[in-house]
Amino acid sequence: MILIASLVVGLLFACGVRMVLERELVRVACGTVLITNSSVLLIVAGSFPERGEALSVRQGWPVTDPVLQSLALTAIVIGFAVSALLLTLVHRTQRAHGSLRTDRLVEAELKRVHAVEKEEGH
Amino acid sequence: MPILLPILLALACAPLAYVAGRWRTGAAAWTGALGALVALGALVHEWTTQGPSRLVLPWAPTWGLSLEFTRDGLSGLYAALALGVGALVVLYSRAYMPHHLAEEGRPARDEVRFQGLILAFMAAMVLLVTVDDLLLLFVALDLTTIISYLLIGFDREDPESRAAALLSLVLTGATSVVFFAGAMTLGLQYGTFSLPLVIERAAHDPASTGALVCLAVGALGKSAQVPFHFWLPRAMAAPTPVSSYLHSAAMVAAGVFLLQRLYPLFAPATEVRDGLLAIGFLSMGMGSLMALVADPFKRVLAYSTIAQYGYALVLVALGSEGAPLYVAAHAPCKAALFLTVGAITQVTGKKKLSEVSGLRHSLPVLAGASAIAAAGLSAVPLTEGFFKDEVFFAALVPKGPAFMAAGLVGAGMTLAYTLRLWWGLFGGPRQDVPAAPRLLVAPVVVLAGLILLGGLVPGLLVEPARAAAEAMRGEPSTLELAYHFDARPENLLAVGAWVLGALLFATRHAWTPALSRVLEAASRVGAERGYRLLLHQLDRLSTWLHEKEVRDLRDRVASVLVPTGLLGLAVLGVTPLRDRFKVGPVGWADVTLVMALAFASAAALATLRAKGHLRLVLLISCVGFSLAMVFAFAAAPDVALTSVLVETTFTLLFAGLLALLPEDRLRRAQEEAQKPRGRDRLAAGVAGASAFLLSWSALSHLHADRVGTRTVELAEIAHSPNVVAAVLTDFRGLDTVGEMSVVVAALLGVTSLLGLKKGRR
Amino acid sequence: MRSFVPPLSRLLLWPSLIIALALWLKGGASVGGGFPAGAFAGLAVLLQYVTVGRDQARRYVAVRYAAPLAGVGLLLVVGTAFMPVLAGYAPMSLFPRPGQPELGAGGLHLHTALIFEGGLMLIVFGLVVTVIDRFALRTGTEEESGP
Repeated sequence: MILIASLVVGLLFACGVRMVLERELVRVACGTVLITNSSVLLIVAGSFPERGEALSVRQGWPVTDPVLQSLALTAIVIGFAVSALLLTLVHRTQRAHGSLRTDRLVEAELKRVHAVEKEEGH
Repeated sequence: MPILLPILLALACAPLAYVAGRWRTGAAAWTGALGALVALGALVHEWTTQGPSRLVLPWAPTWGLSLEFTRDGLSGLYAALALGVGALVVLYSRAYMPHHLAEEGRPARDEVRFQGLILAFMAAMVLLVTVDDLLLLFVALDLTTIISYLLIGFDREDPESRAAALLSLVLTGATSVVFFAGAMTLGLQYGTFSLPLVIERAAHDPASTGALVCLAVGALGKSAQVPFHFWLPRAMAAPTPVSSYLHSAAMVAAGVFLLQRLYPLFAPATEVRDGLLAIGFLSMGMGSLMALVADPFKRVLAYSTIAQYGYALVLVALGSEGAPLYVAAHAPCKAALFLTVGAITQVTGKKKLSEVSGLRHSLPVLAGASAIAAAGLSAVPLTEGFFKDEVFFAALVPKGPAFMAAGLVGAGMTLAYTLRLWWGLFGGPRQDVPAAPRLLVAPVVVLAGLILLGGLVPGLLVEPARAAAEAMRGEPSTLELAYHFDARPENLLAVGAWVLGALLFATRHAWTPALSRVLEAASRVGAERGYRLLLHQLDRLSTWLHEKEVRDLRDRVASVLVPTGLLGLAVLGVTPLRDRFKVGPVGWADVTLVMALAFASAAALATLRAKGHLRLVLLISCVGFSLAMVFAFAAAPDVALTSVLVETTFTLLFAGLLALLPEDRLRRAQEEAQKPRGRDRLAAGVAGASAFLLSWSALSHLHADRVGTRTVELAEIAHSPNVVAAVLTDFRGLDTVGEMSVVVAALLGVTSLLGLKKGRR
Repeated sequence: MRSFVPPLSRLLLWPSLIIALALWLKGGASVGGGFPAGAFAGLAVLLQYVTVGRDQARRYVAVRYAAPLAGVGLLLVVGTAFMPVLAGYAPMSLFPRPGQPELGAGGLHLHTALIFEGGLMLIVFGLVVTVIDRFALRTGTEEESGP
């Protein structure tokens, strides 16, 4: 079980990295979501070996680790907030630069930096 | 809370002056000055009737933090200086600023802002000298830094003034961060930030040299000592009232004040004190030499300030009980001289010694008053300045002839540059200028009167000087101030200094050109040049990094992820592998879990091959929902519920985003993105393998006794049957607060990125 | 033919919000809490945006002032966390303290954790609704820009 869980964590992470390295912003956003998912899974996977009751705890029953659960909750909410911000950022970047491709954005930024430097030079 | 009364009055001055200024511009100065004088009166009254005391206000007792204030000789002396000189400077500004603002082409109402800033600085200074806690000391120190930035850069249209303000902010700010590091070290060493406790514990367990050096650096930066001295002459770009206040009684005094306040910590550290002594003599020599050749009046005074605080530093380093007296006697003289040159600049429009002369005929009162101030600065008898040199010589005499000679030369140069300044302004061929407004001259006259009074009745000075020395050294002081008409070494040194000064002044035409050439050459390799070079190189480095970084976003991401992954693998490689990895049993109960995990993996793999964006988003949400299923099967219902809700919202939001993006651009981006690079696959492989092995290793080594089991027991006591909720809200509540601040930051980001108004492109 | 979806979704709003409140109030005792409650309420509002449009959805005060609500939520959270410091307790001390008797009736217990969770709910709700609202605003008015 440990092996399976960590394999899935690794797989999700690799897919996420692969997407982040794409040339297109929507896929980059998707990649970060996958990476978030893999880390939440890692946290919860810590409680796989001794999962049991989570509610109406009675003495002596096995319990799913509540600390890990709350950590996962925190990770999910933060992941959601950051992804929402990322989505608006994608939208905003597209409006500002008229492109969804990261290499185009880089060109635009370098051009801007050089323009500013030229202005300062004069 | 009687100790707080003067502080509160000082703090109230700036807002009161501002309100009064809204009503009528001129009222700001009078209100502010009155407030400062009332605060001064309260201070003197409390000191004479109640004597020294301390006040501790608990602030966050569970963290061991409290607001601590003290009323002792040091705080009284420095607060009185700040308040008294502050009131006079504010009145002077009433006459000075309208003219200055008109010259700068700014509205007369800006005077209110100026007065408010000066008064705020005064309050920060009073706070600095009355707090008795290392953290508060740092807070007040930074307050003075920030307000001084606003004051020095008050002429914001003037690039020179802005540059000077930035320079002083960077230097004094950076050094005060170093001070903070020292304060933190002390706080950790002694387990408290309360100054009396720190000093008490330091008596058995001396403070570490590193911490002391950090504290000293903070003080040296503030007091404009070598090698941080060069901000001070540049800061002369500020309006003259600012210079006269910040660079006589307030800002630069703060550094030496800190050293005096913390003196008991420095007392056992002889090597640190030797370093301070060397820096003091160096600043003294450098400042005096520069003051001998500088041409703009304010620069002469600025260099003189560096030199004079060098004296004060020497006194502190020697542990002399005259150190507080020195600062107190110097401040009115320097303030009066600054105010004099400001008045002269206003009536003549000139700023350099070579451009004016013979003003004694047109400005007789100013000439007389400033002559007294100059006499005070150069330690002529019958002024209080005489005693500052007396205590200085008294501290040097026991150290031997070399120190005596250095002191003699320093005092001689002081007399020479003061004479040069005064004679350059008022002596020589007659120039006729319009009379100065009375309000410009009156503060100088008041200060001159005080200087004379201190010289004629030295008994007035003894009491506060002794109290301050006692507070500094923690032992009763036997300081005596009186004129002795005998051939004791102090008197001989003083006479020698006068003779030397007079000689230097008389022969000034012979050595000035050579000296200025030497100093010109020396300034090319000085600290200021080093600072500029450092800034330039930092700028170039950041540009270079930026260019590298921006070139390709993907390389940047890969350059973070791949080395991290390799590092993780390397960690696994060097640690013993035995029993590192456990496969773990898979029971029948786990089948559902495995199926859900398999579904998540399949969806994740499919995202890589997804052609359309909508399909991509749906696959991503498939991954999310499968994981929610995993959480549900893993008996984590809270996580599963939140995960389902968040995933639903997120999918809809993502779909909304796709609707927002122009279709043809999406399609074009899609087509162009279909060419994956080999190294991207490699990077993903390395990162994934590292994540897999690290998490496998981590999951194989879970501790048998967890925090979790303990929280289950505690949750019942904490009135929360749902253990997860108890952990979130109670046991790890601060984490949740931090998490919520992240969410709110994201919310603010969204609102600012997508404003309601149709934003600029 | 008029679709049955818009009236149905309008009917669903209030029950959904009540479920969200229930998730919040019961959070201390069973599944639920501030996060799911906020996300659930946000989802209910999202349904309104999808079916009846932005203008109709903004009839509700809570929707119009979602971002300030998040500010209120932050104040609640920070207040619950740090007000005890003023009274000399450690930060994040909740009341009643362990050992003190509980107040409340039935399944509902009064506890300062409830205020804390309420703050969480408001913040999450504010975030979800604000993002939806801004996206919906843009969907109507979007124009081509750039090359």
